[in-house]
Amino acid sequence: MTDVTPTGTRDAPVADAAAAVTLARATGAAPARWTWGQLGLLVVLAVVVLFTVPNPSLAIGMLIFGLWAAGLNLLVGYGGLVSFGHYLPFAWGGYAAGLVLKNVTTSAWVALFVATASMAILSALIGAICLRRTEVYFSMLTLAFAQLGFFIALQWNTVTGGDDGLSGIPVSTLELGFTTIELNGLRDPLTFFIVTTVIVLLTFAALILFTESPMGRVLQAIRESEERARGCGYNTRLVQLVTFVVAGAVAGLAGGLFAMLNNFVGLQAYWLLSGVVLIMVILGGRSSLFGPFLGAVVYLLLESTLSRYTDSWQFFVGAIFVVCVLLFPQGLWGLVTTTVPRALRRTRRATA
Amino acid sequence: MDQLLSQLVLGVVSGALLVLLALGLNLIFGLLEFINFAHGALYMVGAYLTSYLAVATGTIWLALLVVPVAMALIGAGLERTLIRPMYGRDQVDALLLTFGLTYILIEGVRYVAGSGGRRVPAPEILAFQVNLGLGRPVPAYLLFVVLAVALVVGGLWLFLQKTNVGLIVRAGIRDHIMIRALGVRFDRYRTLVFAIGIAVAGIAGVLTGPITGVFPEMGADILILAFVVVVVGGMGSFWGAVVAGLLIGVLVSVTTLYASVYAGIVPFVLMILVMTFRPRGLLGAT
Repeated sequence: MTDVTPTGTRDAPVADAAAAVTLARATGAAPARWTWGQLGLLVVLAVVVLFTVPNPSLAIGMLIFGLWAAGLNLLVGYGGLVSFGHYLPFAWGGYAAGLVLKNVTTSAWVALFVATASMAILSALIGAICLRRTEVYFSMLTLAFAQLGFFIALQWNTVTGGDDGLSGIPVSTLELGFTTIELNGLRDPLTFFIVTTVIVLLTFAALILFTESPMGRVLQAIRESEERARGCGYNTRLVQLVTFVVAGAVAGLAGGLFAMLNNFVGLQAYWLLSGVVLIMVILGGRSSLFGPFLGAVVYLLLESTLSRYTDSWQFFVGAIFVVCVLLFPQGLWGLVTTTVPRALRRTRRATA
Repeated sequence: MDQLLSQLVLGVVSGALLVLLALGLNLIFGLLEFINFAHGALYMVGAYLTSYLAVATGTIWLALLVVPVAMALIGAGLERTLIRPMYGRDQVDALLLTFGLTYILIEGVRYVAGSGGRRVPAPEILAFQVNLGLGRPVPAYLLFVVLAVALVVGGLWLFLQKTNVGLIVRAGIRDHIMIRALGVRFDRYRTLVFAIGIAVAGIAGVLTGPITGVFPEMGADILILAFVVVVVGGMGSFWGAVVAGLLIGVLVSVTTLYASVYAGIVPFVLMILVMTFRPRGLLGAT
């Protein structure tokens, strides 16, 4: 929590490619990030959500959407690859978990594993095509894949339930060796919340590990300059593909959790939810993993509050989004991490 | 056979409308270097303006004149206020900004005009059928749409190839730093090109109205198809967008006839094939 020094300045460049990142951070192009402190922040946020959000399924949804957004930020913030189709892995995870729970077993382990692993494989295939071109091409291709998935889910109603969605997903059970917990989001939301928190924290830790690994560093170097990274001898496409797979698998896991929470998978307009998760990332801030998580919590709070007062709440969502991109491209969390240390320094100087 | 032919005509019509959107996207991408995500929503705004004008005057003729001008002004205003601060920043920021704009436009129209659609009367003078020797006669309005699109495409091409302004635009697409160094006030050309792109989307909105009516979400699906057209045709390729637009229009339309379940998927399958075997697009240069 006290770790406010930019990581780049603390541990000197570990590889040639990391130098680009360090340079970008030192020049202020990429703001300082708290690395492992983020995990502590996440625990604090989860506790705050638990005690302040009155609607339990909204509180659990915040954690799930936060994980989804944090995974997307691997692509958007760390890789500079804006995916406009990140609803696809989320929906896939939901359908996969739902179908396993419905037809095979009610074990949460199996359902979540299938959701995550199958999405990882699918991501590798989709990523291989989407990453043939980067930047704008990538955005449009991911969008097109999401649209393709939407059509398939809509038409294949013997499996997906089509427009009506996949309903009647049974309550899942979680075997822990010594005991078996029933994960019922409606009757026992606290257990569900705690289990979700644990899963989210573990996944989040894995994401931090990934961003701090040499590969994560190369990913950021590619964002700064792909040519330079390739010049350093890195296989840039492979790094991006692995990131795409990780982000997809995390979204699949989040989708599976969401399906278990609602016992239902609904088919929503592809671009609406892909957009929502992107808004969460931008609102929270692209420069960290915790930012998008905060963005998801704030977004869902805004949505549930605004939709109580007006039907046109999406208008305000769009307006907030535009204002964020125009004025605070670093997002809410970026704003905190850049202004708070500066303000602290100023007060320290004033008192000294 | 009759059915196939009339389905082909419908395909050409929907493809022609796609071409208009894709050309605007392509031109804006070429000079302003970002993908205008709000293109579909602006097309929808143009269609709604048409709907109000057409109901007031009884026909779309006035709208066909007024809406492109109005959309060009809206486009120029947007470029000057919201998009200009995005230059020099990450390409992605402009994409995200226009994406947020989409929400505002769709929800704004929903607030003003309601969630339900509106009808646009087709011009009465074109309310007859033409026998093209295809067996079944074709509504004259559809032929008018194809003709109008052909005129717009031809006009755009002549504008880009034969005028001095078009020359500067083409040069700017190649290398805008050089153009600036030569003393051209490049900012004005960016505004101009954005306005033209939006005006062309507005024309597509006017022409679509009498065929399908207008509704707030009409821009979302066609925008994604227009993206596919741009990718399949080749980013930045003028004739690539025209060819790919017509191809996708016809393919979707013919698939609807024989296997309607797959109609929604066909453009994406085509796009995946193109990206796998020819990543620069059908007529793309690089």
